[in-house]
Amino acid sequence: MRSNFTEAAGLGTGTVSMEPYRSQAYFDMERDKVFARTWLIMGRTEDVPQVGDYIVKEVEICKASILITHGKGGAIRAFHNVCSHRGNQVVWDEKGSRKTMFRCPYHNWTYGNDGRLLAISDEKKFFGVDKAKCGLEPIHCDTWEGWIFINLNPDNKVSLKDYLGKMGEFLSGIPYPNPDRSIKIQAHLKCNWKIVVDAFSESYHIPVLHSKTIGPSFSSPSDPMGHLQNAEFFGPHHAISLYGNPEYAPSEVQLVEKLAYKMMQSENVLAANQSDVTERLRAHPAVNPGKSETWSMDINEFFPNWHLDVAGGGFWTHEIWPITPDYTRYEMRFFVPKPTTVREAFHQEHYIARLADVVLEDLANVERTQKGVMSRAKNHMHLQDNEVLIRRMFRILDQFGEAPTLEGALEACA
Amino acid sequence: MRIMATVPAGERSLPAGFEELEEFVPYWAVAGQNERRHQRCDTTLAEIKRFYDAIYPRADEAMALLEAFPLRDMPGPEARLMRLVLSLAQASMAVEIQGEARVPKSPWPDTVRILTEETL
Repeated sequence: MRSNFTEAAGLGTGTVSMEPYRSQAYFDMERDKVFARTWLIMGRTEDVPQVGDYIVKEVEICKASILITHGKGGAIRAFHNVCSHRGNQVVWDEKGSRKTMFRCPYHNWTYGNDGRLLAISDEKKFFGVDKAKCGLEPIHCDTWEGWIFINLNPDNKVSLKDYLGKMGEFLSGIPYPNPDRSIKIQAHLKCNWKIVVDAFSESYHIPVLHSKTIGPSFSSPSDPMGHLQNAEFFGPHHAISLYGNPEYAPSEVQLVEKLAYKMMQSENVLAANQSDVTERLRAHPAVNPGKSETWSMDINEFFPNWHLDVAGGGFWTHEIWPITPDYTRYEMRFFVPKPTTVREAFHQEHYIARLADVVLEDLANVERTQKGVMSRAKNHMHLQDNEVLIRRMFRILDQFGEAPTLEGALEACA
Repeated sequence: MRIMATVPAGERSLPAGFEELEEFVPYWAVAGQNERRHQRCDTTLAEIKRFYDAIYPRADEAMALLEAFPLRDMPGPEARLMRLVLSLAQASMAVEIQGEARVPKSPWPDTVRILTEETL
């Protein structure tokens, strides 16, 4: 097992500038060189399971509204949700089903879910519009292991497979329990998007900030700081494994927790459920790669803004979407089974209630951090070895900023 | 946001045997995880503790009774009892873990929303 992850990642050990958290110029670079040309997560194929299903996602930093459709023959497509007439959004809801046609609510221009413009209302009053050239603007869209990604660069030449590279290979074949049902925790935060990424990229803070909620299950008397178990680096992406306290048990006063977990065989409070699928999940080589006895979860970070976290009982994701340099939309999705009994519903309510508190501990904290950064009292931060992903993310962002193309950026951080 | 559970005229508030919990129905028997979290966050630790102390001793028995009904199609009194029990999970965060009504030193109201595909 590695003991110096920072060195293994080929990183320096000096202080790191805080300017990227508060600079408009850096934010503009991130828009043009990162979000406008990398592959971005949109959701799972189970979000659009049937022909005629659709979802609408926002990429605020690029001012883009994205329509994802499930067309005839199973094709998953992405389009700019923008009418060819005068630019209004064609679809105004966030999701829907049994819709193979979309009618713009402004003037009734009608599109197929394959993007073709089917009809213009009162067409004879126009001056020869070529309908074949006025479909919805398509966006590169592809899937990996059931996850839907888009690329907003119309001239993009890097396939999703190549973009994910060794990270995609490392994680391929993971069985996902309950991919068709999730509970979402959403928040809008007054901070730079990277401060949220940072909050979910290191374990150093867990025994401190989360001392009551999850600290006791992520640290122990033998490892009070819950040091990293492992780290893997793959081009712009990376993964870490966190420590878990194998001795964790609810304290005597946690009566409701005991009641909620009465019928569960979970060794960790982040275990959402147990089943045959979770057995196969644990056996996968990329899950707890060191097969450590003192493991709690893996954080798999897909550059730039998506985390796929896996624990013994299931998985959850974080999406972190920049809006302005100091405003961010955050969405966490927990993939959990549909409860069938009142006891299962009670366990799930307890599980999500605890996670909402944990997330809020982080989210209140990110706004405090941004405030400190904005004061300019400090210009550099000190990072330790368990914060290796934060240091590495900054190097990758700089490499993307310097590279004229996505191909060049991927070569630079290979 | 002000939310309340209501009991239709002529209907029992809760199943027979749970009468002493009826006073908690309007505030705590609300539908939806996000709404139950809101109720926990929008009151005092003393109120949460009063609810917790009343409902915890009856929770296991209540769930045993409710197991006989389909989770998504319970009669009104049973559905309200189920929501009281689900609110206990929210209340326990304040009583057993945080020792405060909310996450200490966090803003309220906040922008956190729990979005579910169904409302229990």
